[in-house]
Amino acid sequence: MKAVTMKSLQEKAGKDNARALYMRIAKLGKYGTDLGDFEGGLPPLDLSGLSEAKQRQVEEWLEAAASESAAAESAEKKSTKKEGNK
Amino acid sequence: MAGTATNNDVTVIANSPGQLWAGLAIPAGGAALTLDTDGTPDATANPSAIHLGMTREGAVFNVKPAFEQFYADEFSSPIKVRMTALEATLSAELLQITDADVLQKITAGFGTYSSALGYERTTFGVGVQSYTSIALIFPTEADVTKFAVFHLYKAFNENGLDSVAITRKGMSGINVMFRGVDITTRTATDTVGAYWKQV
Repeated sequence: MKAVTMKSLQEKAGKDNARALYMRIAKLGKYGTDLGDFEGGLPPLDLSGLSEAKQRQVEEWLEAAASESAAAESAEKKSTKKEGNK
Repeated sequence: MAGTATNNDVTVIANSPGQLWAGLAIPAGGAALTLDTDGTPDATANPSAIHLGMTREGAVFNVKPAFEQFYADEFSSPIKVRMTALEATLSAELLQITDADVLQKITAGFGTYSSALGYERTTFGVGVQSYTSIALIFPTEADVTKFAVFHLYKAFNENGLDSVAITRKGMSGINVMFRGVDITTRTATDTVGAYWKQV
């Protein structure tokens, strides 16, 4: 992955977690965290310049957030199903 | 005893047309904009990049510090100076003025784009101030496969749409001046932008 955008983070980590994850990456790569509004949202962060270790860290965060989001989604589905069976 | 070498070198004089790009990704601290081998922004690292098209006479980059000078009564010249402000701008006269993508970049803060069947429009009024990451990229004289870059990480067009002439005799153009704004949470020596070249 060469860049992260809010859209790509929302798709991977879910809308609720995307902003916190973006800020964590922004801090890790010293992109700056007071980026403000760039054409209606936060700007893409170019990951290419990060060290390999930092790129791996970002990948790990993304994977963890994706599995967390998937688990939350399946738990929600289960609870909806249970409520439907009552 | 020996003389000292002179430094006359035409290959380090910039003398090529550049390309203006907006909507670029923010580089990590200590890193630079990622370019493709053709000198355009790498598309996957810069997914929102747009080319601002042709200019009338190229582009001008400025980084102007302001210095406060301190005097002592005993001396006639300043005894010390301190930089108190830094203005970084990138300006050009853009020709492709009816391009909706270009207009969106230059009307940020006062223009709102919308489209519907049959038209695209920009309405003017008070909007949310937004920024763009903008760069001027040009090939080096020493090696046209290597590029140099002036980059403002967070900038806005402070000129608005000024004196847009639509005439039979001349080409349209808009004088834009993108002013760099500090990203205050970056390293203090790298808050507004950068110049770098490939070697």
